[in-house]
Amino acid sequence: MTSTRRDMLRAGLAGAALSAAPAFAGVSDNTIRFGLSVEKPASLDPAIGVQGADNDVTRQIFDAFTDPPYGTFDLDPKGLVGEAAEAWEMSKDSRTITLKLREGMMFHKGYGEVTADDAKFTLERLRDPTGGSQYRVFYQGVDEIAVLDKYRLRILLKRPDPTFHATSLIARGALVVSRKAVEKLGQGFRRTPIGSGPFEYESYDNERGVVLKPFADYHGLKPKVAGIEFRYVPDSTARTLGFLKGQLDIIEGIRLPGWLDEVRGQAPKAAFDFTRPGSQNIIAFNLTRKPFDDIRVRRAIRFAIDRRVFQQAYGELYGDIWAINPPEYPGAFQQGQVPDDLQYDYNPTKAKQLLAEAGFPKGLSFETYISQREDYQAVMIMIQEMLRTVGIDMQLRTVDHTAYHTDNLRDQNIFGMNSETTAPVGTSLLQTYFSSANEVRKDGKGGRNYSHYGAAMPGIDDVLARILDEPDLERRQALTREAEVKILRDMPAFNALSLHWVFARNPRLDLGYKINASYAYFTLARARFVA
Amino acid sequence: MRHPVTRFFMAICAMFIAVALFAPWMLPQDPLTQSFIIRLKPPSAEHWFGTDRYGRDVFARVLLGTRWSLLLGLAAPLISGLIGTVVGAIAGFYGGWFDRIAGRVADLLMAFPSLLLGILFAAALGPGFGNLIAAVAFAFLPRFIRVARAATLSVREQLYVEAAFASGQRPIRIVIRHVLPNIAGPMIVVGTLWIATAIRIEATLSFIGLGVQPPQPSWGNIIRDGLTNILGSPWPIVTTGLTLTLCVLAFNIVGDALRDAIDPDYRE
Amino acid sequence: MQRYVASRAIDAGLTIWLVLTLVFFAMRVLPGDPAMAALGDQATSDQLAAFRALMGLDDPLVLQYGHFLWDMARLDFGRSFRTDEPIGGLLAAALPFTIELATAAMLVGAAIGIPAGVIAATQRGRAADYAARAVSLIGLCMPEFYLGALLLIVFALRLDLFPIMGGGGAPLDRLHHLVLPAITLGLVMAAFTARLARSSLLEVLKRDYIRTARAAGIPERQVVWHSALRNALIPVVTGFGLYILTMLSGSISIELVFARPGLGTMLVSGILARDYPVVQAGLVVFAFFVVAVNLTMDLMYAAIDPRIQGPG
Repeated sequence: MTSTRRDMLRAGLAGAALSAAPAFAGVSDNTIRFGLSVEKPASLDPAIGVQGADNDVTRQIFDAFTDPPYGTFDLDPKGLVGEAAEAWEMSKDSRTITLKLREGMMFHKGYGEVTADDAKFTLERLRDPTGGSQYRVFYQGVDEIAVLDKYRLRILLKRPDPTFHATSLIARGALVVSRKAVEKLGQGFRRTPIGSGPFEYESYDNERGVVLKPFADYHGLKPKVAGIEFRYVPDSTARTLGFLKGQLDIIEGIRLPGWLDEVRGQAPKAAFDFTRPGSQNIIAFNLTRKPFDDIRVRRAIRFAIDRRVFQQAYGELYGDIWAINPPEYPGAFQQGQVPDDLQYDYNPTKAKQLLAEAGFPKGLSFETYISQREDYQAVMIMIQEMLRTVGIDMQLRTVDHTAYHTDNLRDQNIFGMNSETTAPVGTSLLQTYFSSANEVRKDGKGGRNYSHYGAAMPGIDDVLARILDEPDLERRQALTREAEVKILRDMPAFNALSLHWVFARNPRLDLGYKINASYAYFTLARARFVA
Repeated sequence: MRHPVTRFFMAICAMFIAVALFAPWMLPQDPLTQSFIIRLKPPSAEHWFGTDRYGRDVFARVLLGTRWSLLLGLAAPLISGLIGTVVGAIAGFYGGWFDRIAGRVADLLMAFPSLLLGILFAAALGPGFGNLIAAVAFAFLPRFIRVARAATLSVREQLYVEAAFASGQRPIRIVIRHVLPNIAGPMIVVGTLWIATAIRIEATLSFIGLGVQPPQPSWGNIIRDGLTNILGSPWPIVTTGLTLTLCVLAFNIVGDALRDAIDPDYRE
Repeated sequence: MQRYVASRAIDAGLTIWLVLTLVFFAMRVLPGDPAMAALGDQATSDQLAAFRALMGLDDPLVLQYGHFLWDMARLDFGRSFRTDEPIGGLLAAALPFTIELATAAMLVGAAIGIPAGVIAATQRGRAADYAARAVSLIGLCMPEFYLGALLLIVFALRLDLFPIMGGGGAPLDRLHHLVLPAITLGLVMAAFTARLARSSLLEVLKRDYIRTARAAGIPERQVVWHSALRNALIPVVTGFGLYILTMLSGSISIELVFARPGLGTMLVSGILARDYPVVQAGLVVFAFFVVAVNLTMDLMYAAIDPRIQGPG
């Protein structure tokens, strides 16, 4: 946390500031101060994602090709907002996308005009298996990218994919970079990013963090603020207090039980932005190990999970899940739409009855391990308590976060959790966690299907294959729901809850749109301070 | 040992040991039960130390944490003392290259504060209570080796040892029959003196995140958890820290008194 | 004397080598995957393998050890796995915060501890003595991080006199951020100093020349504060070496409490993130301090006490 002498004087004069509500006076220089949860920027190159918080910065510097209308996950191609792209068209067979860029867009710092060549370079870089791209998986279906002229390019897909734009052309990796800048700066691009977005990179130091200023030649509406300072405040208490004292205008919130109440208790006027659905918390039963080879045990555990407890604990951070995909995803199950017997409303009697049928009338006991990371722990600690009430003693052993994932990938866990934020497309979670192609392997070279679904028992491979060959979006979504119903019935793994990301915001700072759904970051291009 | 203050703190130590032994049977309430309606409450008749962010009773968690703290506080010096005695006695008795290396390494590592060594070993071994005990025991080892070696050297020069040599007893027999019984006294004294430090180091490592891992409660991680929740309620920090301080204080005072009683000439 | 200095210097070198070796092997048996720590938990197995190859993590251990020693000998700490920054720069940024803290704490400790020790000694057996001894004993038993958290709650949260956390930016702001952590660590230091000052002064007061001075009718005040204290302070000052090291390790948890971006914070976050190079560098710098302080102390002793000769 850094602050100036003026802040210090103010803090001194404020007396017992925390017993009084913060004034949210804001700082008069019209600059947004954004508190991030990490120590420092790791990579401001949008293709190389090391830590999520860097996306909050890169989103402001770069243009996506397109994006859903701000604050939504409305992925109807006709309603999309064009950023770098002005027009886009998907062929009938869902295999060819043609993009037309805006003319006359400029890159920051004199790197010239944005052309179709830069666009192709951006996409090639994202799918390059050797370049360390975090988003490579979204571009595996790309067959070929062709530049048609200075502003137009065509993307050919190997298979029909009516949702290609939703995974691969929005501000989730698909941020247009300057070829010249990347080639000239090399590794340095991670520290001095060059984009064509509303803000350009100015500087980084320990005191002010990453400083952005409005880009004078921006092709769209000029930002109404004088700049943005991304302050790096990894300590959650310090970040919260910086916000409460008015030194930070927006902060990444803390997704732990009670945090919202804490902030509201101190600052009733604070605004909150929830980026729904946020991360999905998939918990997999290892079907190859006792007692989870027994469907009755798996269903018993699912019936013992009480959604209301999560809701009480997390408040508005919590999102219900009715099947596998969160209801915010286009075409996903909403409340009351899954068959009654697969609703899995909390039912301890049923859970105990199933356990008794499975031969555990007195309950059972198993040990599992869990990551040291707080968000993982909070969920598992609550589940531990829920299971205890139906007679299941789940012992939790805590291990280092990377060791946790490494061991999970080596098929060591029997009841492991994975927290993941996916693109808003119904097939993502199904492919990652439920296809036999991604079955976990003892040598660690498999995927994240930790339950061995589709191998230890018949799974959804056939439906998935049909989905991936289906050019029509609605039929695709129907098939996806069919697969989800089968998963609910077999219960190899479940999505325990959505945990929204949350940002606390000075109510004087108006974002210019309301956030209903989003990835964990959003554009500040339209933000302004109001009286 | 007869001073009233010493007796008072002996009673405190006894109380902590009793808590550690019988914690599961004396919990006022289940330390795992969560209730989001009563989270982050200040101390009250029902929850003496208040509640944490899951609405769990902090007092019950502190009682359970006592087990870890005392178990480590006793086990680490004990293990370190046993290994240190053997290594030190062998080094001191036989001399030679083993003595030179062991003595030198111990001397060099003595320069490091034990907390720093504890962090190094805890980082290397990773989370887990067994590893934590090993880490702290390692951290103490140089000190025990040094004391055992010095004590052995002085025992070696005693007449009865010379006599044993003269009568043709095997060295190993001399070590077991004459050396070990005679250095046991000072070793026990040193061991007692390190209990309080071990408890402190455990708390610090757990606070840093290298010790006992949640959901297992330990004094250090309850305080760490309290720090991330300091805006909600400062009470878990205040009450748990008080318990920790009292425990370290009691074992320190009793350790000093024990040293004065057994070995008035002891100098660290 | 020269032989003594030489033998101490060799010891110092040996210690550094020993610690380097310990650190190296400690890091290699560490659980957790540094490649995944660096690339994030969504990285693919190909990416992980490529990273391991690039960083030489697949090389035989002996080879890695050789590279490691060579790098350390050149003071080349390498780059952070996580952020790819040169570690030299990270150290340069972190060290001032830790050095400032240690220095300030030392001053606070001396300013409180020495007078408290003198008062306790001159009031021996009276209320002030018992009070000072009790307080310093509690100070020694209270873990630093607990004391720090208490001060944070009272002075930063409730009274809002100090910033909650962080290191500060501009010089004055930095000073403001330094106050609470320095007082915390300084109080612990004061407890040590007071104890030592008391016992040392008591010993000096028994000496002949003090009796002579008293018999000569020199006022007690002058006897204590001038003649006695000067001599009593020698062990206190030389004992500082021990304190500095205790404080240095105490500063780690204090930095965490106050979120100070110092060496301790760097080390602990490195450990939790499995960032080998950062952990190695952090531990080596700590070890270097330990060795440097010990060496200085030994040489000071030798300078003061001419009896120390030859191999110590």
